[in-house]
Amino acid sequence: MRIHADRERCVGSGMCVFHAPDVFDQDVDGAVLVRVSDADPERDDHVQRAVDGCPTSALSLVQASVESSDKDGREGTISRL
Amino acid sequence: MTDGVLAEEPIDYPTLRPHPLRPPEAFAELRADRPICRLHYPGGAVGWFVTSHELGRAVLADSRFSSRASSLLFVDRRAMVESMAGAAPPGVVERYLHGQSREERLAAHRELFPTSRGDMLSQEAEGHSRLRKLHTGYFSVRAVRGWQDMLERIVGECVDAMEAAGSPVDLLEMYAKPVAAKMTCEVLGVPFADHARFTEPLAGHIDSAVDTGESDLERLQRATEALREYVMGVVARKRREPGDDLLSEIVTNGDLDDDELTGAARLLFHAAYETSTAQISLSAYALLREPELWQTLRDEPSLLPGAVEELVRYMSIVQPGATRDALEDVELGGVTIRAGETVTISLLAANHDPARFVDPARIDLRRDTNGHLGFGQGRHMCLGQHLARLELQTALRGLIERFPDLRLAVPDEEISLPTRHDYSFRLDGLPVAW
Repeated sequence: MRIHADRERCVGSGMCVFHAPDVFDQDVDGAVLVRVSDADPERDDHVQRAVDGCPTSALSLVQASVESSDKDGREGTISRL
Repeated sequence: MTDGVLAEEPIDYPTLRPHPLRPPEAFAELRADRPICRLHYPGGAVGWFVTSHELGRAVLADSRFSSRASSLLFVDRRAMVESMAGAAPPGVVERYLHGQSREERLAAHRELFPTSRGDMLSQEAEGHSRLRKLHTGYFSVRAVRGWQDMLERIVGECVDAMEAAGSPVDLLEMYAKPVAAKMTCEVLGVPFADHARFTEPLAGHIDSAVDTGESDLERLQRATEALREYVMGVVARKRREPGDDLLSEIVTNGDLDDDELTGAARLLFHAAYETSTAQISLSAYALLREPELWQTLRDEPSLLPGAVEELVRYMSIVQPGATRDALEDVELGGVTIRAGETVTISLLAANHDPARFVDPARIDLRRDTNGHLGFGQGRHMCLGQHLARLELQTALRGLIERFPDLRLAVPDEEISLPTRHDYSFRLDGLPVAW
């Protein structure tokens, strides 16, 4: 599973960082950054809360196979710090 | 099912509390029976009222609902406007309350409450993102962490002052208000010496909405004008001499004109000061009226972040809740909300939904509060929520550390809280002793 962040939908609430500070961050404008894009079972609960708690549903968990179709990043990209 | 609900008589917004800290009992009955029901609005319009967590969250997160024009239908506005009769220009109150068309009521509303172009709460889509994006970097979790030292210094000054004044004191006046005012001044970049220029008009706003029978439109307009004048001056100053603060950042980095800037800044003063004052004082009150809660936090300070979430859930201080207009027909909870209809979500009712929070009327400092709607939800979710969390945690920790044996100085029944539900939730005073 990978974490997919749609930065166009993001309104910079920071709820993801609140729930999973090891996984998410915000850029200087407050928009989401995914620091570790592969979901880790140990952090699953926090990541799930971040995904569920995003006020604009900008986060999703995608299967690796599905993710390849998003590779061109036409819909928001996964960013790393 | 839809027909059944439509056939039901619309309700009036429930306002009667069994106890000042308890939600109106009607919320529980409605939630169990019809969690979305028809509600009377000013002017005889009928819309919807949501009392369950599931449906409330759904509306707030759904982009088919807009907050653009709906603030005019805030239920507290109705009470406020009703109390203005006699003071307002002839006919305006009448047109607002009983106008034949929505347009007529909107026009009357604009006369009574001039709207502000810079207020992002009443904007949607590009207009909203343009305003919100100017602020978000300043309120990110990372940015807020940088304010920890500032908040600790402020809290230190305020507990010192409280201690110097000597037991007993009014915690609202001696602590909650100064902490909130100093924080507002620091974040927005205005000198603390200025604070009465915004705290007094904001108090005027609240008081003029209170159903005392002596409310008057002139007082509200005077307060509004005083605040606008002050904020315009601040904006002009920031244009001339930008500093290292939020307002300077918005003035410098944005393309807002002075009118928009004034509206944006006014919202910030309002949001930063009033909510903090209310939540700090109400939180302290809730902890002191059940002293075992206070002791628990004193003995286990690591519970503080969770305790703050629980107190935000429990109080849900934005009493009238959130109001949205449907942009298209929406099927929700077995009913059809027609395009143009207004929906009010009671955040308090949603946060006291037993389906989401077990035994919701109990303050449980260890509760999993995940998903509470105390800071709203959706794209208008509270911009300053992380700052609010840190401010509340720091303010409560400062009190607990300096006054471990703090207690109410009067019997609980003498603490004055609004008994009606449709106004800003706040204390009128909180006498404490140590």
